[in-house]
Amino acid sequence: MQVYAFAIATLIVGFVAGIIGQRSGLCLIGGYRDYYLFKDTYLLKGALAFILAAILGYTILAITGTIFATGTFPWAFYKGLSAIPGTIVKTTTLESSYLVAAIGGFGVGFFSALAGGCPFRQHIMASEGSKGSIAYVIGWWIGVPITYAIIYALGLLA
Amino acid sequence: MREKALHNVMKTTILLNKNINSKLEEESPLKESEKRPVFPRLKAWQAGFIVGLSAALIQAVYNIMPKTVEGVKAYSIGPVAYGFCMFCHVRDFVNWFLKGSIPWLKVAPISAVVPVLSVVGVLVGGSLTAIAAKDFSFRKTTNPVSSFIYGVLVVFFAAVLGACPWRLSLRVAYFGVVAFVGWIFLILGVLVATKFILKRGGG
Repeated sequence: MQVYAFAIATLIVGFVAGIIGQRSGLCLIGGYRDYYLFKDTYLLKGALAFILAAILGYTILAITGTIFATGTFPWAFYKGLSAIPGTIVKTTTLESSYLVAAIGGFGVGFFSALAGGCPFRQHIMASEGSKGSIAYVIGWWIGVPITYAIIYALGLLA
Repeated sequence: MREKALHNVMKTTILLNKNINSKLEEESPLKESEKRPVFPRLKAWQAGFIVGLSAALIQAVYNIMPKTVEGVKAYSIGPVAYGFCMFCHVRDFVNWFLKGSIPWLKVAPISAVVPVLSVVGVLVGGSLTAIAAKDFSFRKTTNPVSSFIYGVLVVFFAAVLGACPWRLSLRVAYFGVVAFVGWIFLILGVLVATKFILKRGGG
């Protein structure tokens, strides 16, 4: 029963994010791009407000003791320079986790800017009926097992 | 020459992120009764604040999740900064949908039991709002073939990074140093790509 609470909670957060994203045009990639191109801070404020609000939320959880993994926030304080788990690439050393983060970050930023928006924005535009974004979303969903297959074939899967 | 390129980029950007305000102006010749219903619009910083706060607070729900799934330890230290992610949640949903039938799709065991529905929520919430606000229309924007390829490429690098830009921001907010380095390189990637588009004269 508990597990369904989790499913419902993620559904609600996603639903709210979908409504808000449609109403505001929030895009994390677009913020940096627009500031660089036009010195326009409209979307950049959204990206920075997202981070600040998340810091606030995690601080509330840490103070009230309801954070899932206790003794992890702030990460740099408890775990030092180690990486927060999540990458699917095998990282054996600390240096390799930095290298993987740099490669992944650069690739996501580069190709998202070429595609014209962050993945969230593309999902919102797809739900508005943009045909290009619908193709992007299909590529995104099909790309997940493809990506795993490539990294597995390279022998790099964690 | 640079001005012309900048103008082209501006045109593409507006085409890609079609601003609802500009659409309102296009539709203004309509009669008063045919105008779109007044639907509250949010500023980006307000939206970012609400989503960021809820994505952080949903972390509390992990407290009630079982620590083991069918005898297997679900997480060693918990999925940290996992509130909202366009990559991880898609992967976990795909894994749940396929009932773990793809052998190389090794994910957290919990996702085989529980569907992670946030991306479904985004698509449903986005399209319902778009229909209600009369923003929904099938329209041709960018080339679908190149968009498809961009989708595959971004998801590949997102898998390497282990996060989409949203979860990366959550990790930065969690004070992860590696995530911070990834974030700097993400911004660098955006700047290089924008420079590339400018040079190309706005695709």
